[in-house]
Amino acid sequence: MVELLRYFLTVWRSLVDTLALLIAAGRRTFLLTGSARRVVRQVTVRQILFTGVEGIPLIALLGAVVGVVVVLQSAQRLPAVGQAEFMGKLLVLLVLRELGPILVAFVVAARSGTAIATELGIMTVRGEIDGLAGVGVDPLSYIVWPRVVGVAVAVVSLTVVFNVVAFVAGFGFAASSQPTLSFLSLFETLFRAMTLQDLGVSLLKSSAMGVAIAGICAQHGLSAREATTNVPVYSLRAVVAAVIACIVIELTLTVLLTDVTTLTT
Amino acid sequence: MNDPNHSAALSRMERASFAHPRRGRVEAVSLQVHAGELVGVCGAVGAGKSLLLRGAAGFDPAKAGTVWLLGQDLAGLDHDRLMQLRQRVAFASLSASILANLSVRENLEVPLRMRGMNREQARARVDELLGRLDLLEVAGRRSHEIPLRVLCRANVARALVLPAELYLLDEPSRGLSDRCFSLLGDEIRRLREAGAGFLISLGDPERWRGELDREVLLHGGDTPGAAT
Repeated sequence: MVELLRYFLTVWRSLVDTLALLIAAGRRTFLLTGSARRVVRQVTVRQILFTGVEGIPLIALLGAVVGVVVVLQSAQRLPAVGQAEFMGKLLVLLVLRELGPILVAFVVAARSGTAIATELGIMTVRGEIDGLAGVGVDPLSYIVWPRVVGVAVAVVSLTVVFNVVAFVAGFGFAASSQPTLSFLSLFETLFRAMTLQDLGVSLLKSSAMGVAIAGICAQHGLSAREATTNVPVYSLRAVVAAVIACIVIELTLTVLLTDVTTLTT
Repeated sequence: MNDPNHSAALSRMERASFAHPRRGRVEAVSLQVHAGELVGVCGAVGAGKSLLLRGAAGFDPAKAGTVWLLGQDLAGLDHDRLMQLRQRVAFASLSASILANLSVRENLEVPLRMRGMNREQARARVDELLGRLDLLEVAGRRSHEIPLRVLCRANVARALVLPAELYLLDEPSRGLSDRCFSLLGDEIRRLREAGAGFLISLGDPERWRGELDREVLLHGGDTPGAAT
């Protein structure tokens, strides 16, 4: 019991530290002007390239697998129970609102979250962070904020890629394997079922998860102390904390943004 | 709080003590660095020279006594104010702490550009200094592509390229050949003539005799250090 309490206390402290880090990094970056702002933008673009562009193949593969499985299963099962017209809404709810953001966030946490925590951990232990501060460069503006913005933008973009690939691959596979289904009509059911709110929820979830992943991993990386051999421990803790944060965000936003009255109808 | 007695001092310590698990201890040190001065911190390995410099830069807070940086008491400063002060100071630690993912030239350009200098101005200033310190040959290389002793010179160059009022350099001459030491000495003289103050730790104080305005001798972790 005491151990559990201690664990939750550590998680709570880590959450508070991460929030403080994000607020401080955002505020200090906002105060930058001119050339300094351009430097921060360049670092942000590099982060988007690493997390977003280089992550596309893996996310596309994942999207294709999920799309084929979900579309094929629903295309087979729903008509059998007389609910074929519900397919579009099911896909929107399942893939666009729920699976897309969380699966992409898991991949980004495992891939880029680890990289951020490890990189910042090594930089801290080697004295690079203090070295930057010593020449007047605020590490929160130059190191942390570009990673937060870069990962958030990347998670949102990758979620869009995931959704598009999932629907195209799923509909393509369903249409090619079942002659009664047409590729275009499947898209038609999807667009009929999709609302701006669905897109907004997907966007909100993915951006919140992106900020959480980068913030938590940066905070853990900057906490690394004494020896590079400690860095993997901090990285591991960071990724676990980031995954838990994504699950909490997913659950919280799903509960808050789902119209519960529709569950009973 | 402002320094009430010595507003002209760029760096001042009044019976300041520091302690760090790995960097050792320094007890009750008093010193002052004024514009144009070169003050050396001497002592054996482990005497706490690096700790003292980090304390002067505000990285390790004093356990006792008072430390002023550019007239401001470091004890009363929040992170924002400290970062503002560091815009007027340049610190180079003993460990070669330049960023591994950037070339030497980029490492020198980033602090200048973060202080508002445009890319062309920063590039010109960096190349000029790298030329003076005979580092142009490694300008395009990253830290893992150059020997450690060259990396240490690049680390010092990153501090010297900045327009600063006070330079805090941790053993800048460590491992330097006579020729490189002479180039570094010329650069420090040039900056001092322009009004900058220097507080440097020295593992090899005999090389600097004749250059120093004052020496602070640290007698080791457990013995009080005193300005001499």
